[in-house]
Amino acid sequence: MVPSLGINSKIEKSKPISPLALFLIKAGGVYAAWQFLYNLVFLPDGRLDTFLSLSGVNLAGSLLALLGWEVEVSGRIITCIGEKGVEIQNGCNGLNLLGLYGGFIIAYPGPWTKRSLFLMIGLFVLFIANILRIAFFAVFNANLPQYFDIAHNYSSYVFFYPIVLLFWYLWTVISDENDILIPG
Amino acid sequence: MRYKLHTLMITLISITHTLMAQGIDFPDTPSQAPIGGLGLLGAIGGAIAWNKLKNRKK
Repeated sequence: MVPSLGINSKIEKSKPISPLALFLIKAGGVYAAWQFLYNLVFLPDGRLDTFLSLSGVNLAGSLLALLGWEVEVSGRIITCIGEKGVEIQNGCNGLNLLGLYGGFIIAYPGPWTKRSLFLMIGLFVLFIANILRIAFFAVFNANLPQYFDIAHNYSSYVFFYPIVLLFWYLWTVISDENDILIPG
Repeated sequence: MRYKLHTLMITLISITHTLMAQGIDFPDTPSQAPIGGLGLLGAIGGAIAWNKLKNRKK
């Protein structure tokens, strides 16, 4: 009886965990780690949030000025001159979204070289998308301030989610491929 | 592998439970206007992963 129990336990231990279960465990772990890191380090420190908010506002102001708009940037506030301004608070800077995007890329199986590349490109593209979103807010609020709440609530679905879903989907496809240029 | 994961999960839960029991809590959340629909986005991401990984053996 005893030897057969030993064999059974060896078989049980050697049974591999499915990729789907492993993804769910890793995704949960990465998300929990991100929440701890953000709530206990980044949020009290505030510098990362402030950097994302201020750089987003400044770059959106530069973009609008380049396109011929007369804008004024003061700290977190961007204003089309003579109109109502928009203040970019920390919750609007996209940091939570960047964490969610990165969590999926890290949790989904694939080679780390490609994963790092995908993370950096995706985070950069989302940062640029947030600049466009802030510029859109400034122009929209100058012209249709009565509808600003609606624009604010649904802007993520236009500016962020198509990009995130596209990059997630591409990562699920590309992570499987054997690439000659980027050895995995 | 599965044994290690179980050990890791039990350890994490135990540590979290102990921390919470000591009264350690997150700082107050500042008033923010969060980006909406993150839960929905996460659910769609989970669906994409499930669709791709459900039949994969290794």
